[in-house]
Amino acid sequence: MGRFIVLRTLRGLLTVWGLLTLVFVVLRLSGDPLEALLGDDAPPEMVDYYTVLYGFDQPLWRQYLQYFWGLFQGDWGQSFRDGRDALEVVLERVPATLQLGFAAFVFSLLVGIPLGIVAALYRNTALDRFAMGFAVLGFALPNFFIGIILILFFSMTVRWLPSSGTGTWAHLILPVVTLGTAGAGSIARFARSSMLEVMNRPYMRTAQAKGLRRPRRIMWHAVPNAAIPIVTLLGFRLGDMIAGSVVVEAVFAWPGVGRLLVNAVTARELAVVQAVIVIVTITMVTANLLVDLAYAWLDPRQREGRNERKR
Amino acid sequence: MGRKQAVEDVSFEIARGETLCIVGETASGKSLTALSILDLHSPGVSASGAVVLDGRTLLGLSDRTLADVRGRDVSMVFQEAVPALNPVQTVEAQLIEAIRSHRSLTRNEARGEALTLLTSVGIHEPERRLVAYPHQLSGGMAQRVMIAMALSAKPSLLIADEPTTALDVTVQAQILNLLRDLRTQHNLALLMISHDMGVVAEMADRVAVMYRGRIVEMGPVEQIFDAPAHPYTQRLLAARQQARRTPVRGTSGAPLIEGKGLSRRYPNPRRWLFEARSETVAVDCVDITIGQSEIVGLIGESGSGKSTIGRLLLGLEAPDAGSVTIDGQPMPRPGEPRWQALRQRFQVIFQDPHSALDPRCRILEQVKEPLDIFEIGAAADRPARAAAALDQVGLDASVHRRFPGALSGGQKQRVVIARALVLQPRFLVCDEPVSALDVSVGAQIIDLLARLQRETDMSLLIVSHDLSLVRTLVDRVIVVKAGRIVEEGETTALFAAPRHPYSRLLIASAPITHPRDRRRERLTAV
Repeated sequence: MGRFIVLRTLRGLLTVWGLLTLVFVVLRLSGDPLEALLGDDAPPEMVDYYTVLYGFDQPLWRQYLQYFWGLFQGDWGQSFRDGRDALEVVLERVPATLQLGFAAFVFSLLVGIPLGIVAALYRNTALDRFAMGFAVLGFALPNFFIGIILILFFSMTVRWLPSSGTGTWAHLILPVVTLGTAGAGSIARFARSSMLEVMNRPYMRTAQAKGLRRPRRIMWHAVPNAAIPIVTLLGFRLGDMIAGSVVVEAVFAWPGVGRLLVNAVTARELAVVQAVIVIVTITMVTANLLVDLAYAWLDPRQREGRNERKR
Repeated sequence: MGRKQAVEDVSFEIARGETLCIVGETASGKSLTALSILDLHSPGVSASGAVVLDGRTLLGLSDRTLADVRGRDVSMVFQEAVPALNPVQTVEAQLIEAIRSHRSLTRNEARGEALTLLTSVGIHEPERRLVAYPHQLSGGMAQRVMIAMALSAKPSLLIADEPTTALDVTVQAQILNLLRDLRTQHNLALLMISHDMGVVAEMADRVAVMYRGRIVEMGPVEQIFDAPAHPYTQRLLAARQQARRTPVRGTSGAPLIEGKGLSRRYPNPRRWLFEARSETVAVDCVDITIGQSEIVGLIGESGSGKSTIGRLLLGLEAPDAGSVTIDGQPMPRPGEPRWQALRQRFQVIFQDPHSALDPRCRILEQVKEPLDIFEIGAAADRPARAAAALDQVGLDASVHRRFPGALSGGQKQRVVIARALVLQPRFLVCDEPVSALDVSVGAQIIDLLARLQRETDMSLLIVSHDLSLVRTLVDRVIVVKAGRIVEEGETTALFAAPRHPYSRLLIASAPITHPRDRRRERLTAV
């Protein structure tokens, strides 16, 4: 297990490095950051001054080395706009995004898993079809569309909930539902098929032959086994919560990392974009590591002989 | 969709202390009949009629009411024990759950009871097994746990659905002994489902023969074996007692393949970063020779390394030590010109014909494919050659355009054999060629292999755990245990007088052919 964690962490660092390199190159090749910052009609002396200040006169490889050398010393670069440390700019937005992402994740679990289990238990009934209809709608409709519909109804028509901003729990509801619905949909579908598969396993028949009643068979024998594949999906979903927040934060004017990223890319705030990428990648890698650990905890077969092959 | 009648008008009764065996082949309805007793069907299957236990009608009771009967009055053990146990719970959790669902005991008392039960089914170190998960148990051990679980509430009827089919012969013999002892001890009514007349001969007081959803014959075991009335019963019995094929010749001529000092090890996965890598020795310093047109049987239990030996001789795996020579020349490596020729002339047949065929490719196409690969003959002639190979294994033109899904297991295995034959192999490895098939179908496949060998003069290596198969087909037997050859010899001689204790155990464990041969206490548990 120790070896496993070390390996996965190293692999995660490799992912962060690869992604940073890609973003570094793409951002610099796709347009002139100073043009975005200073505008078209800035005087040449001013452009030259900033070119030298931010090191854009250096060859790309040197900028790259300097950037990474800085990273190792804790220097994430500066925001062009206000000269603040890029990491600081990003970190102050992180709590808002985590709040939204985590709440949406919990929402999608609380809705998706029971929905999937119920659909599996009442397979091919009206209940099943209703649940799966909801699930399909959930992940087929784009985030921004759901968001706008919710705003139209709850903020404009009945005026129960605020359409944007932050502060109270009421502000949280619409963005969370918007962001969590797609997750709930795919979790529900997955939970359903996982349950159906488990219900046909020989050990479910054993549980029945032992004389266990149906509720116990489901809660003690089916659900724990069905949970194993669901957990894998949750890892991806957790990442999507952060990535999906880009759109949702824009729709609801939520002051999180997602909105910051959109603004920073438009403004060619190189250091800020890079810092956001690092933070998001680290979140993704950590989420997946946690999933693998949860996997090992849930499934005794995973705890040993991870790559054991059958012969 | 219409409903299919799988079982029709089946009636039987069973008394305490009695063993009734229901025997029949795949899809004869025997398992469905057993499951009906406790209404354990998958959704969509329904049963009608009456099931009466000690005067109480069971069929038609609600799931809630039946839950009290299941496990307490009637319990059941299944064919494959490891998948029948919940993979995420320990043996302890599952045993205690079974005990406490029918008896009001505290957790601790139940744990004590679980230990007693495990001991009573012959598990050594029960404390250690309690904390084990199902995947850490061998098949035989898991079946013992299942039996312990089934007996936890002292039922009056135990239903055993093919309880030993998935097990090695020696383990099968132990489990059958155990079931017999427990039946006597607890005065159980034992209902056994089996496809194996050997198991029936070993266990039954009475036999019910099922064929196409009906009981075609029922009676005391001796009567069924001595005077089978129904033609199907006669066929089943005949399948077990095939005429011994007379060996064509001794080991004459030059050897075709020679393996010297073959070893093969597999690394075990490391659990910790700096743990030394341990290895599993699959094959350990094995010398093996297969003569021209000789039929050699390689017998041993699961995990003995017999399949690995087959792969080493085929060149599909390279040995870690030792060498294989073919016609006196070293085994070529992939990429060398002789490698292609070798792949054409050395063929293999696998255990499970269902997964050995491409489900989306028509039969004739699959048999023709090897000809395309090796560019044998003119492209236009190849379908005819493939058809001839199919004809050789007894399949006519009606199957040519079909997909594998439309064929029975026996037909599929014939297709697999035809696909190997079409290349006119010199050496054919048959890895458990009949163990996935019904007995009477398996017998036909064996006859087919014997006939093909006579016609084509190829060498055969039969890898099997099934002694009766090996006995009827092969010229020479090699017994493997834990990666080593423990004994080899001419078939009749070896079966008549096995020298190594392990060969003796294997032969003694093989199911008998007639109930009069029942071994009382002949075997001691290993």
